[in-house]
Amino acid sequence: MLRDITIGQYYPVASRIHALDPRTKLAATMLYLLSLFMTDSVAGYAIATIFLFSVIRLSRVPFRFMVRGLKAIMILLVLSVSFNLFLTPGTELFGIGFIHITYEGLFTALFMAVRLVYLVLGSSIMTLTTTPNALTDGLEKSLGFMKRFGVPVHEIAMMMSIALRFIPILVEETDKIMKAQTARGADFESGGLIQKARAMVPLLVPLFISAFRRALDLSMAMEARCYHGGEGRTKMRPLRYGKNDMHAYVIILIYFILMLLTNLLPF
Amino acid sequence: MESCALKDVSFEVEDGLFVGLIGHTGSGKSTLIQHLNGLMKPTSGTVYFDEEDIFAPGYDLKGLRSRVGLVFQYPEYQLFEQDIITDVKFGPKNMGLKDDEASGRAEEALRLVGVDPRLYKRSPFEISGGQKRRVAIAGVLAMGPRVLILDEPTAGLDPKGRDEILDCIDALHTEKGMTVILVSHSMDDVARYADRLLVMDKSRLCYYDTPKEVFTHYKELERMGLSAPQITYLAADLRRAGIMVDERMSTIEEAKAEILGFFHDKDKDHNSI
Repeated sequence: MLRDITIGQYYPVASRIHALDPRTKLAATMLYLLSLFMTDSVAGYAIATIFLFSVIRLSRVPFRFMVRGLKAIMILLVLSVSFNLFLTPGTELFGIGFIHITYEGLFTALFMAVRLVYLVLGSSIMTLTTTPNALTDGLEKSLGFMKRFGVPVHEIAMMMSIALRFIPILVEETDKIMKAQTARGADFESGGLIQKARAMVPLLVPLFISAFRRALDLSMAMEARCYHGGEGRTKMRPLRYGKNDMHAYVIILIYFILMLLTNLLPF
Repeated sequence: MESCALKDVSFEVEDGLFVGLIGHTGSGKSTLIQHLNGLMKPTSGTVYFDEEDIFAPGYDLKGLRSRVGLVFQYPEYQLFEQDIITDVKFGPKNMGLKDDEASGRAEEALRLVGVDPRLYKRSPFEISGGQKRRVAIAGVLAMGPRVLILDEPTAGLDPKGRDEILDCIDALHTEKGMTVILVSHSMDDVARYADRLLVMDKSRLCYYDTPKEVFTHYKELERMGLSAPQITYLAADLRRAGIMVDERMSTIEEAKAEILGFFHDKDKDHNSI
C-alpha cells in the first residue's frame, strides 16, 4: 500500500516536451497558468483548449495519467461549481423552491470548472514530463538571481532534490519496520484513533532514528567528496537551451499574446 | 512488468531441525521467510504450520507470529523504547500478557542471549551494535516462539560478536529444542550448524538436503553465485594430491579427523611392511 505513493509522478517516455529544458517548461507553465486567469471569453478558452491538448499529444503521456491528478481536486471542483451555480444573481433560468439557477451562474460555473481542470492539467504536464531532479535544477538556475538578495538558492535546491531522493528510501524503510514490528505482534490496523496513534510510536521512533542516521551518513559522504555548497561547482549535465527551446518560447509567447487579444473580442 | 519473487517452492521442515537458507542476493530468501509467519501472502499456494493452513479464514495470525518468531536483517533498527527491558517486553505485551509475566519473559529472553542484567534499564540506543542486536533478538525470543527464523543475524558484526550470536542460536536449538531457520551468506557457518540446507536460486528452490549432500554440488553452487565451505575445496585439493580424505567433509573438526586418520592409516601401512 505504501509503495503506491508517487510524488513528482514522472512519466518516462521520449518526447519533444520531455526533451525541453526544465527552465523552458517552468516558464511556459507559468505563462500558461497566467493566461488562464487573463481571459474570460469563449474564444480564449477555445485557444487554451487547442494549446493544451496539442501539448498533451506532443508529450506522449497517456491521457488517463493526466486525469489522475484531477481526483485530488474533485471536492474543490464540486464545491466551487455549486457555489457559482446557485449563488450568482442574474437572469433566472429556472428555480425550484429556494434554489435558483441563473444564466450568468451557469456560465461562471462552467468557466470556473474548465479553468480549474486546465490549471491542474497544465501543471501536471510539467511534473509528468520533467524528472524531479531536472525540475530542481531548473528552479535553481532560474531563481539564481535571488542569490544577490541573500536567498540560498543552491542550498534550497539541493535540499529539495535530496528530499525527493529520500522519499522511496523512507517508504521502503517504513515498510520494513512495520513488518518487523508486526512480527513482534504489533497491530497497526485495528483500534480507535488514540490506539492507532499510539501504535505509531514503534514505527515512528525507529523511522526517525534511521532518517537521522542516513542524513548524517549522507552529509559525511558529501563532505568526503569535497562538497562545499554551490560556489564554483560545475555540473555533469549543465542546462543549455537548444533550438527546440527557442521554438517553444516563441510558441508560448504567441499563445500568450493571442490569449491577451481575446479580451478585445466582443464574445 | 511482473515477475515471480518465488516460484515452485515446496518444502517441509520437521520440528527441531536447524535449517540453513542460502542463496544469492535477490534469490528470494527474505521473501520466502516472510511467508512463514504470514507477513506476506502467496498469490498461489499456501503455508502450513502444525498441519494447519495459516491463510485459512479465521486463522489466528497473531498467535502464529508468537510461535514463529521472525528476526529481520539488522533487527536493532526496530528498537524504540526508553530502556532495554521495556523494548523486549513489547512482544509479550502485544500477546496480551500481564506486565509482570511480560517482565519475566523479557528477563528470561535477555538472559538467553547473554545481555548483562545491569544493562536492562539502559537506553537501547547507547549500547554497542552487537549488544543492540542481542536485545533485538531477545525481543522476538520473549514471545516464546517454537520456531525461530533469522535473516542474516550476523551481518555487520565483528568475528567475536558473530560467533557469540551463532553459538547462542545453536544453544537455543540444542538446549531448548527450538526449530531454527537461519538465512546466511556464510557457507562455513551453515556447514557448522545446520542439519538441512535450503538453496534458493532465481526464485526457485534448488536443493533441500543435508549440508554434506548439498556441498557435493559445489560446481552448481558456484554457478548460482554461491560457493561451498573452504574445507570442501581443501578436500578436493587434497584428493587431487593423492591424499584420499572424504570429499564430503565440510568443517574444520571433520577435516582434522580425516587428515589425521589418513596419515594414521598410512603409518600403519608403513609399519606393517
